[in-house]
Amino acid sequence: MKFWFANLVLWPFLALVAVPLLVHLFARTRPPVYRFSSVEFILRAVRETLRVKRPRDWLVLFLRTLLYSAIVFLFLQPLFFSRGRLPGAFERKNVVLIVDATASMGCTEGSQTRFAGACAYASDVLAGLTSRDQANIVWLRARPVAEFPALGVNVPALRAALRRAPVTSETGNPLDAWQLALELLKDAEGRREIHVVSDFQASQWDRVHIAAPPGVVVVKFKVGDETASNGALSDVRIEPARPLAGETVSVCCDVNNFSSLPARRTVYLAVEEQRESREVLVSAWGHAVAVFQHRFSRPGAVPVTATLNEDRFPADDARWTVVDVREALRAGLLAREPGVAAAWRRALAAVGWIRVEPLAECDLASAAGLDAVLLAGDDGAALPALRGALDAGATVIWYPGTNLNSAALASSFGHVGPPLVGAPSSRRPSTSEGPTNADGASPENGSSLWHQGKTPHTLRIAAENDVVFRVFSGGEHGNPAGGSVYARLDLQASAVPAASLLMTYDDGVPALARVSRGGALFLWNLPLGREQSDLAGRMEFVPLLSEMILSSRTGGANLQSSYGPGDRLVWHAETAAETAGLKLLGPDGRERPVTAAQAGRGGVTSEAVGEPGLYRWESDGRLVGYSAVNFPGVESDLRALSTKSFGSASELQLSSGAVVAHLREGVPLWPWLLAAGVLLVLFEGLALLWAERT
Amino acid sequence: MASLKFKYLRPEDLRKLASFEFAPRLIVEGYLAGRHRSLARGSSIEFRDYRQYVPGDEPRLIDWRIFARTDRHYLRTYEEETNMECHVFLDSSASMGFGDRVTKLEYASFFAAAVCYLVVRNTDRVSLQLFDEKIRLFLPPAGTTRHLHNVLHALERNKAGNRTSVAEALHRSYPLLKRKGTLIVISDFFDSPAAIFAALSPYLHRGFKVHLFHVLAPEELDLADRGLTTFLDMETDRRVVAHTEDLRARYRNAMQEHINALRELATRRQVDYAVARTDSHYFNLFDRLTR
Repeated sequence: MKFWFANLVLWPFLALVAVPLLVHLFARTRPPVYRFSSVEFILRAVRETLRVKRPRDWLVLFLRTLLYSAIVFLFLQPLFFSRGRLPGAFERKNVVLIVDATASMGCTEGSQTRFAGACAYASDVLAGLTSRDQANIVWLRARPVAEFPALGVNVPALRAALRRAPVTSETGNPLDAWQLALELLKDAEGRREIHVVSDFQASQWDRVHIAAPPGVVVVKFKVGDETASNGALSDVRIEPARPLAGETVSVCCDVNNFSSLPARRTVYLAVEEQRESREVLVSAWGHAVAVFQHRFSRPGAVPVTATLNEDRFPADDARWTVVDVREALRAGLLAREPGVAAAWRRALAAVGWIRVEPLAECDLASAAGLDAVLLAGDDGAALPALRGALDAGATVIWYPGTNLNSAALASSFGHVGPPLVGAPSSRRPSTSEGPTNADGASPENGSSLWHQGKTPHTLRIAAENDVVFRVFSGGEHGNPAGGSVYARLDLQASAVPAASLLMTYDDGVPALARVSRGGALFLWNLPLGREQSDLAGRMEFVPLLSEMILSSRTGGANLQSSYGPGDRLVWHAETAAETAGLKLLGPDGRERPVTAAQAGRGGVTSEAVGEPGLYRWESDGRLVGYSAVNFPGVESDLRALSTKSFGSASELQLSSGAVVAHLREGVPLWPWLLAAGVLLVLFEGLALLWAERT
Repeated sequence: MASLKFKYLRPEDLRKLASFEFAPRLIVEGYLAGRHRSLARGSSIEFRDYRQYVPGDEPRLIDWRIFARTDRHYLRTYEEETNMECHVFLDSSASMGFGDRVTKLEYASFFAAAVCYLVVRNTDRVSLQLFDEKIRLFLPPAGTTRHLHNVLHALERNKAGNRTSVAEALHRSYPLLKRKGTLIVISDFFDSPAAIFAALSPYLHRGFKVHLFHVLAPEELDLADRGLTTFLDMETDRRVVAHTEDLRARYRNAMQEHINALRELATRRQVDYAVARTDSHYFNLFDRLTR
């Protein structure tokens, strides 16, 4: 809490405060002498009046001293600074303005946007600098940049930059901007100030704590309304993410309501040549999902556009996505067990939308692009190599081989404790049926887990409501649990604790189990050889297998990258010729510069894009793809940090423009002094009136 | 006398005084037969009273007609007319030097001179005493023109002196007066009223007719607005710094209380008391003397 005086040159006049006191002290000694006949009666009157006069004199002296003080200070024009360190009279100031140019600053409140208010404040700060002071502006964007490479004295250029600067649709990186500002001030001599001019969006600043180093004064200027309401389209999802042509998919549009009142919003969806709308009621501070059903007619990249009816902040009312509609799924088959592999191959060949590709062991590492990998007779060695494919959302169906590696089973299906063994009854060779190794391997290698019997095992569905069996719910595709099985891997359910059992044998031994690890890893304990089961010949076999692959697509895996404003769009061309003629067209149809080509990968990178929308990649006039740039969801919640949650106590905490101006420029006290002077005159009159009446 | 120039008895004053007569209706003690009544029974023709004969009385004064009717001896007594003695006490203390256009002492001197003139003109005797805290000058009673000249010269030479003590001056003057008569005290009476009347008591007891003329300047009755002023006491040189606005009302009240106290005591003791404002003509004061 400090004071400063705008008219410092008038300081000597402060001595006038002593005038009443001097008058009081010296005026008594020099009144004109009046020779009077007798002062007896005067003394008597004086003694009587002294009782009232003395306190009145002191009171009047006090009031007049205050009055003189008020008048003198009035001309000194004092300024009151409630917080902060005042610059010395001849101290050089170094000011860095961090101006928030993120998307939320584009919100219009009243007659101007938040960004315009921020620029106006920043311009005012710059206008208050002298020719000796230095300044710079750091734009708070996705990649914060400074207007000048270093602090400079060209304040007019900075003010011009403030006038020209547009608000972006990007999200911000406050910490980077803060570090950049500190870097600019690092070697500055004199007073160092950082002004953070932002709407202090709670969703962005809540976890950001900027600590001012010693010697740096931080002024936070908040623009915008703390309780600004907004509705936003926060996401558009396709389920499954990479549908097949002709497949009915769900287009889910997430609508958020960032206001304290429920809102009824209309969502419009434009995909291919269709346009649909849904009306949703979104609760206060809640979100709702508008779901559209759609069937893509042809394979390829299909743009999907979802929009909301407009509100006060329309930037986040539209969203785009590009759907990679596929013609067929790709399935790789590692055929170590010929019987099972042949059955699988035959079944998948019968499905038109799955294309089977043979896999060699050396190809497993590059199987990430496959939708499904079928391991027939693998002893577990291939599973680690498929970790990447699983993480990418692929479906892996594993039929264990006779040389089952129990460690692989344990690591994949969550076995803990003793090594994998079958049930006690299973481990004992059956006297009637006897343990038989399917491929003649020794029991010590795990083959003891395989049993071949003459009495068939029956199956039962353990999870009827699982998506794998959804296709069988109508009954037209038969009973997937039908059939007889003579051989099996004799496991206990406790051996696969992390897996969910889909089908089991009648004695509880898992027949089909699944673990979700990004994609789905199925344990296929259903031998398909002629002597082992009749499953391969049953009508349910094809739909069961294809449904396992189809339904297990997480597909998160929309290969189209999601971009935000400020990002560089990347396109991987298939051929060098295509790369050469590749150009990017923005939502407005204008060409965007493609700045760099990634050598050796056929990739093209654009410059950072600004506005959200659907960007088209064309090569020689031919459309080759889309890139969707969407509004950053974090910018939609326009609520600001409350004033209480601002910074530490050592920082200046501001809330409104007027308060900020006062904190920076000081509160002019002359109106108060003028009022005080008037009151003092009034009090003096009252005191004199009271004394006279007394 | 008209040809002489006196400061306090100017020719124009003499012309005006020609129509005045100082004839106090009081009984005086005089040596000469004159115009004034005397308690000394004498041979005048004005009957006063009867009284029983006591041995030693002159037999010729016995009223034989009464004796014939009552068989008792009574004497007829007559009032004897004699000349009057007037004693003028003039306060000459420093405070009497106060006044803007005319000082109180000058005003009092004019009045005293006129009184003395009227007394001498009536073939009466007049004495003059100038005093402050003590008797500075005493001219014994006389009725001659020469005496009047002495009085007038004394008045002209008179200057405001020291501190006032009316009571002290009255005490000291009492033995100097051989005969009772009219006592005229001209002063500003800056003294205790009780002390003043205590000093007057012997005079009153002896039968003096006492006139008190309280000479006051208008500025003393009501303080002029002078702002902050250092009041310098003319008698004691004491300084008091005060603002006239602050004490004007209280001073007026205090002065009025003093006057009221003097007036009340004068009424109680059957003494004539009058305030003589220096801004009014002293001729007005003669009305008091004829009562």
